[in-house]
Amino acid sequence: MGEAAVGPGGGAVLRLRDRVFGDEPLVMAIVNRTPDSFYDRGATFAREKALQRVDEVVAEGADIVDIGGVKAAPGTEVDVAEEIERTAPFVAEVRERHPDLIISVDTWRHEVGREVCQAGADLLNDAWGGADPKLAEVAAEYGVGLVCTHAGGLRPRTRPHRVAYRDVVADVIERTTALARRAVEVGVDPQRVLIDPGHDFAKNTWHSLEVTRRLHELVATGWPVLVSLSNKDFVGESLGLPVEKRMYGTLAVSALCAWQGARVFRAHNVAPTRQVVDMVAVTRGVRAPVRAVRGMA
Amino acid sequence: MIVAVACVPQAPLLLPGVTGRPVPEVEELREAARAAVRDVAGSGVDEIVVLGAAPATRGYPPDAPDPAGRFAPAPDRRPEADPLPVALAVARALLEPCPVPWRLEGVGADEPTRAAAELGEKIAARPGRTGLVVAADGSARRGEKAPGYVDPRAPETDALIRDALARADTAALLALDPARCAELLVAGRAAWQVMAAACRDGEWTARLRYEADPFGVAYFVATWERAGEGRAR
Repeated sequence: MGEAAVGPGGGAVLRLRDRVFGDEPLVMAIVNRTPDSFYDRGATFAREKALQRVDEVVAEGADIVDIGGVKAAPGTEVDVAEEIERTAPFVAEVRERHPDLIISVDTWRHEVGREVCQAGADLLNDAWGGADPKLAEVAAEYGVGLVCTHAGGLRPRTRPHRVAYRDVVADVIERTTALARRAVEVGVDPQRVLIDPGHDFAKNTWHSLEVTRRLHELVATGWPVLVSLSNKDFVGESLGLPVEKRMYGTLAVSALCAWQGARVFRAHNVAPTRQVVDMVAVTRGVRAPVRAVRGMA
Repeated sequence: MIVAVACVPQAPLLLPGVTGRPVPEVEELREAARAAVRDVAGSGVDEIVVLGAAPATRGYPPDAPDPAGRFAPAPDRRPEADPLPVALAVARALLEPCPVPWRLEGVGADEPTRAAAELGEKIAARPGRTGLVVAADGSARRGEKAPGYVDPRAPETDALIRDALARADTAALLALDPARCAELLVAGRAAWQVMAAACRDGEWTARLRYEADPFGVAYFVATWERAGEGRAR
């Protein structure tokens, strides 16, 4: 898509690091520096394993890595110092190994945001919906991007309990676009702001499915949309499958979101996600086929 | 008088953009074809006649819509009403931008040899120095993966065409059997016969610049230059 300001899908420009993106979907690979995350259960907690994982996902076609130091679900307390220790030196190492890679860090804390930006991060993935308003200010200060997520006003690391919405999509749009507007007000580059409906965050399975069905309404706000679907409980409950068997369900909803114009796909299973979202992009006409000659010789 | 001729394939995959990303085999072919057409445009001609297979033998408007949207519909490439026949569209795309005035002449793909020859004579009689760009290609039945599968007679006919193009052998092109060519899915037969009739008189320096069948269809790129009418002007 190169330098096109707006792609044929009509999506707004997204800037990350020194790159400009049109409508082509981007894959954000999850790399956890946690001993207890739900899917990989600590597989990349160790530094060497995590570095190896970064190399792998880059080879598999990831555009972005999203480094997290605290699991989303409730669990053992991780304080600011510990989270910084898990993320910032690692970001610096990844930056050195992959000078052009877009590095995101999954955190809600501004203290962590500051350290990882100094270490070379390009994007702060605020998965808890602006719980710490100073995080946006750090993004502005360092000229990096910000993901504005819907977490329904929940405190970080809390589970949805008896959540009900008059209209979940309306709430998602209202909260995420308010966060996005505020981010721009405090100085974040508007072309570096994304919104994320936060599947399963402050949502039961029905809510996550409703958001998936109506994702185009988020896309219509004009803010680039990131979706984080990978192996989540709404997929598990929908199919009656444990966490290790949710890849196909994840890919199905990834395709639906891609079809509706989502731009960034946060994923554990990078190669299959890459193939699925690229195929959808080619079908939508926002990505060229690699080689179309059949029937035209 | 015709002073220079370029012969290029008429495959839809030469329409700009329809392969998606650039396909190496197509780009190699396109480059050979563009170079041949450039040589004609640069040979001091007053006008270029672009010739290719069409549903009917007639001229076509130079600004007729491109047929790419019919072969490769996409959000930014919709099918158009009354598009140019693909052979002419391919030749037009290879030609542009062109510093010399040009016109489009279609020849009915099934025209008998005699009718094709009459069109050739009319083109030859045009005033001034005329360049000719002919979109035509050979058999589409050259192998198991070819569009028309295998016909064991295809290589022989294609070889005959290749030799005729390489030697400016107009008699050999005029002797092509329309029925046989139709069976072999030789789409360029009528256009080649127009070209041969238009070039029947005089001496030519011929050059075969490309010959391959990367997709099971025989593609040739050739140029003919009238002896003593070199492009040095």
